[in-house]
Amino acid sequence: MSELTHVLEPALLAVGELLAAEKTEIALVVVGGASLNLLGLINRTTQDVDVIALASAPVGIVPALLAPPDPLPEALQHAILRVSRDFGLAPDWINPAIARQWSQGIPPRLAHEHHLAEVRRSARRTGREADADRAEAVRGCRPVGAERPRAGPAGAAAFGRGTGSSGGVGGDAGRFGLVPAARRGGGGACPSASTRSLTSRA
Amino acid sequence: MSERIDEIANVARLAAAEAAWRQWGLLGAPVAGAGIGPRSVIDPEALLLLSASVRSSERRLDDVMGWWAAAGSTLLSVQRTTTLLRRFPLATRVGLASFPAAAAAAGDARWTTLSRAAGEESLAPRGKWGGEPRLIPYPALVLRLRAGFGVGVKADLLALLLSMGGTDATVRSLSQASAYTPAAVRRAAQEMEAAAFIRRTRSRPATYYADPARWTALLEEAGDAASGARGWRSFAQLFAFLAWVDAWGNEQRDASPYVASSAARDVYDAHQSAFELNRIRVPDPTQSTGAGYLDTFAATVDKVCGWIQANL
Repeated sequence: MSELTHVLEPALLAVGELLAAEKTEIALVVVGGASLNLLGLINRTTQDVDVIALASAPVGIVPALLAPPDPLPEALQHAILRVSRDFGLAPDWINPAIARQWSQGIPPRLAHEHHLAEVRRSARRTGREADADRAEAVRGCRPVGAERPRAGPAGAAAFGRGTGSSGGVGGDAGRFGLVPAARRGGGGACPSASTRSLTSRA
Repeated sequence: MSERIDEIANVARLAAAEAAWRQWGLLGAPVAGAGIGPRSVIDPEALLLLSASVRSSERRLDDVMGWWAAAGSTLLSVQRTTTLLRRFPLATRVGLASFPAAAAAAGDARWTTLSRAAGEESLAPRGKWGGEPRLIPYPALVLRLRAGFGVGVKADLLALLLSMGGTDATVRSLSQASAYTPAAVRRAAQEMEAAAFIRRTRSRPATYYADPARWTALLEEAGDAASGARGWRSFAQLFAFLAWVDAWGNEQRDASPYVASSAARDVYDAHQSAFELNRIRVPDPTQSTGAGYLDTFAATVDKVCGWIQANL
């Protein structure tokens, strides 16, 4: 069995390439050691990639919606298994075990994002722009290219085919994008602010 | 990247074409420059399917297949062709589609059912092109016994056991080598043993063998070829591998190195038993990570193609 830490980036890129080849797009919110390793904030051994949420692609200024990740989408499960074979990793090297926190109270920041996204979606539906504006203001979202967080409990990883939308959890085909989703101390970065992306040679 | 993928697929394609020409040449097809004649026993259905696989890139094989449809189709097993076809990629199905129609048109009604699925690309029966099939050389043993005893599992089982030079084999391994079901092989073996055509050992599981001494006169007619004969090789599985590598090359031409390498692992996984059956030592895929497997796969294809060339 290979050590995940050594192949984390190429393995995630591989998942993105497989999904891109299937013309599928799936975005995940990843927390824990894997996300911190990918952000370059730490450099320590990690056993798996903890998925705490699925994220939808942002639409215009409306950022991603978060949803419980268990079970992972079928296409992603297939890609995870395939990459586990191809890189000699454990079959559950990406897993949603940590998603139990959805029933036990997810990290405050994620809950906040989720709630605001719901507000924004509701505002779009009812046409009450004021609600959407208020939501944006509360959220304190920063523009693309915002300051990189020093340390954060959560990161957002996106796999698969891009939507061509501006920033966010998508990206170009075959791209694995990494977006910091929260920042210690609140006032987190906007999920659509891609501070780092890992691009395959696709 | 597409060049690398093409390069790997091309190695398989060339090996497939060479194997097809050499074996058809021995069976009487007027082939120029077919190289050294084969010495292993020819698996006729595997040869037909291999030819169908590379037909699109080797147009001259149309003449050979057209000739065989008229001159030799009665010596082929329709059932075994259908069974083996399941191991080949879609491209083989497409390449084979017009053969049943040509065979049926030449008077072999057994192919009529399959000919309904004939493709658009017709294959003209060309009976006079190559004359009568050559059945006496040792590598034509399967066809020769079919000509003598009829097309079926018993003739093939006898050919298989004779080509093993007296070595005994279990029903399971005979089934693997011949692509007949274990039940069919067991029933045929029991009846042939009762008729004293073959022998049975007392081991468990039971093994069967054919005493070459009892068939010497028949085999001697094969001439010098029999003395240098290599016996049976499980070509069907290896030919299927070549066809899949060719199909992989076509499908993955525009894929990323990783995606192509992952699909290559699928091809390897599906044919691992073929390598084991023929005792071909190929590189271990677990020693390569991610897209690094492409080089390992290239080495695997090289190894298998080299083995086929040396063991035809």
